Amino acid sequence: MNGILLGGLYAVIGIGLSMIFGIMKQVNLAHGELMILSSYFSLVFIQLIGLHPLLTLFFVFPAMFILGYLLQGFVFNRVLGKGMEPYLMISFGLSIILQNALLLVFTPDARSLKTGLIIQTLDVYGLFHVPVIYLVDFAGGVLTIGFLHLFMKRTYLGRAIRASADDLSASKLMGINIKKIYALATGIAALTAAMSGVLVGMTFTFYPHSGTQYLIIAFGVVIIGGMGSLPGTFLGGLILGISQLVGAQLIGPGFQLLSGYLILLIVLTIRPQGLLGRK
Amino acid sequence: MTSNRIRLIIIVLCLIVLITLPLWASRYIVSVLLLIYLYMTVASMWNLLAGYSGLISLGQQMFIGIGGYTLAVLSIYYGVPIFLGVLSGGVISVILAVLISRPVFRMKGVYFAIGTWIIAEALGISFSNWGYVRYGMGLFIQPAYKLSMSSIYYAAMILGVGSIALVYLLLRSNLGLALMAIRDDDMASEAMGVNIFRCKLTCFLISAFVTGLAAGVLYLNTIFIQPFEAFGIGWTVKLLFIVIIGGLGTVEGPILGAVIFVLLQQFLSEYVGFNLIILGTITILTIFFAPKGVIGTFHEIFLVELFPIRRQ
Amino acid sequence: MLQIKNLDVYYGGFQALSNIGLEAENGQIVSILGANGAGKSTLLKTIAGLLKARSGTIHFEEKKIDHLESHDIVNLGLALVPEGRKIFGSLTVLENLLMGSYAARARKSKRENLENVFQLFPHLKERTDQMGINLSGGEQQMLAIGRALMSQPRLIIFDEISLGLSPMVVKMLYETIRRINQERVTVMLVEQDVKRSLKTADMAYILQEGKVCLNGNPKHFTEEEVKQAYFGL
Repeated sequence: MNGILLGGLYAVIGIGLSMIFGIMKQVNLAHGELMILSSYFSLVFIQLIGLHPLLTLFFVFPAMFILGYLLQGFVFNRVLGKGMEPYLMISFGLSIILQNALLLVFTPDARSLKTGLIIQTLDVYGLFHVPVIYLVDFAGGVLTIGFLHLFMKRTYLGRAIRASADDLSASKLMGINIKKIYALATGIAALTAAMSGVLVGMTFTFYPHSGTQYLIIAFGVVIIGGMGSLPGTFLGGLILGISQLVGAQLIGPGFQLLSGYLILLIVLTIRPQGLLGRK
Repeated sequence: MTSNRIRLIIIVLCLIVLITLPLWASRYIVSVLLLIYLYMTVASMWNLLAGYSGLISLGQQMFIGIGGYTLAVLSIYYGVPIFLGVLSGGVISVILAVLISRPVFRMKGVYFAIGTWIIAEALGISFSNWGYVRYGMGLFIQPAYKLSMSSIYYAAMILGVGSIALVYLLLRSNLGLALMAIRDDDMASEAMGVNIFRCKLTCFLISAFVTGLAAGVLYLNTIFIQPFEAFGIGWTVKLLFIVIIGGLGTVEGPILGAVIFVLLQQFLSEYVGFNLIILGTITILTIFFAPKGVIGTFHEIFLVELFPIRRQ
Repeated sequence: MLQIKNLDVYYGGFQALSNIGLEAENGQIVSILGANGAGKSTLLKTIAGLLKARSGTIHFEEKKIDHLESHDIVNLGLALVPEGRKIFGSLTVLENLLMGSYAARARKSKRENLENVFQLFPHLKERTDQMGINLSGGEQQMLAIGRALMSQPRLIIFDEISLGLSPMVVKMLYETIRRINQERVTVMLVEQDVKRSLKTADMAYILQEGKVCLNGNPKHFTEEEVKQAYFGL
């Protein structure tokens, strides 16, 4: 049960990555760090103003959106059209820079975004206990993906993003400025990173180097569910969430990450495009 | 004198200087050069994969970890003579490479990159949970204490020079021709009978072996090995820096890149924490403005190569 | 309306167009013909901003457009119906059409334009919720044209619209083109179907190996001239 709820959170973690791959056919290796950066942003606001973590989203959302937009606009757009390698390596470099910058500023201590929710559990039919925080995560996950879906379907910008994923030159002929659209898409991906970062911060402790493990989770979600597919990402999240917790139960807590990795490797080998992915 | 003669003379002169180094240079310089050789080795292997075989691996550190731990375990627990331990590190690395080659080669492009990264992370976690190698506390390689700096230096030098020579010879061989053909157009080359899988696999195995060896010597120098550091992504970060700055897809690139890197490390050792940030930034800037690296741009402008690989 | 002078376009080292000169006047139907590889598509892509010329100028309604990006050119009132239709497969018919009015100038009147398109292509009205990828060739072509019309263009360029379609459908498409032209939209056509093209056009340009070989009022062309210009025989 917990696995399913966790899966909702995982889905949000993965959706940003999936978006960028679906739209620009690129993989942003710094996505995990963007998440953790959001967690730290939230921390700063909590310490400065004493807000509830969820409320810090008011600040973290715009901050991350602008960051994502500028990143694409000034950094990634420069290597547009040059294939996969430059983007991959630049995003990798970025992730290292962010990780170490966070390390410098915030020290290697464990942090978390404290809420009272972490201790509360909910009794469901007297059968099992569900930590409330997981419910919040799941709700956050569903809301985010729901909003994203609506945005893509109903707005001009959302459609423009989908169009540019389908056919680049036809999109240009419609008057779509591809560079701006890509920047927008990255900004939105950063928003999902912000959401997942704050949720993760509330649920688990985080360190400057946590980005890597969440990046791998994001990959897990996206690869299992399929790159570029919204429902697939949700499904991927669920599967990964469940398998991780099952693994932890069966073998031992140190192996939670490991079992996730193993599943991921297996899927990569057998069916890299995921369950619902487009090729 | 023909250009080939000039090249030969330059190379021989350099070698003479390097071989006699421990006799006249300070301990500090010897240790710096030692590092340069080792980074050069691992980098040129990474270059072989990424620059020539088109396999961008973010998981080379798995061989560094395995090579290092093999040496550590064999020499501490079984008293295996040091350099045999190093050799075994290389062998075990190849075995690992063979084991994972089936699944890993089914992953293309970015999936390959991620897959190799995950394997390295998984190994890291496994080792840190393994009592036999003292969990995350790591191992002290006692037997290495009695080695002299010179012997480690020469081991590193053999690896450094050897790896460059290896890459050079490889690229001038039939395998090299095949690789370049694949790089240009892999469907056409397949039609000509080039077995792409076998070529890439060969490069993968070679790089695993040499990297494993280099890891052994590296840990002879550092004496202490820990799972998260040994299997950590930090290695790939440094390799990326070295190869991109030096020049992806060139033979000399890793040499220059390693020199710049080690010198930069020494210079930046005062500002712990900043060094990776600066490395990352320089790497990104290089990709923007000089995507072929120093050597690559040099080739373009001056059309001169120290190690020419095209047939003349 | 459209003026091209001394246009040179290269693909890397290969020169695809040499010294192209072309004029299209308001309300005309201009035809561009030539064998495969003569450079027709290259010309259209360059006009629409998808390719950049190495030298020469393109003026649209007195404005210089050769240095502009495609999305800006569309905003000025020039639309291209690209070769191969290139509709958005994962978007519905309606969404495809709405994409046509993405350009700022056309957003306000999108309802009107939608009505007009549905009048021209009632077939599309019945299929508004179908995904682009599920339409037949002819329907996709209609959609592509409708989409281009949604941007309220003053000049519309058609790149090989008869490819892979049945003669009946092609006949219908050409009638539609005439109707569009009657609304005082200038039309430029690239076609394989020489006869039909020459019949419909007011002006024709025949390209051979990247150069203009023959141009003028097609009603005055002789069959000999056309064959010469087309094949160089």
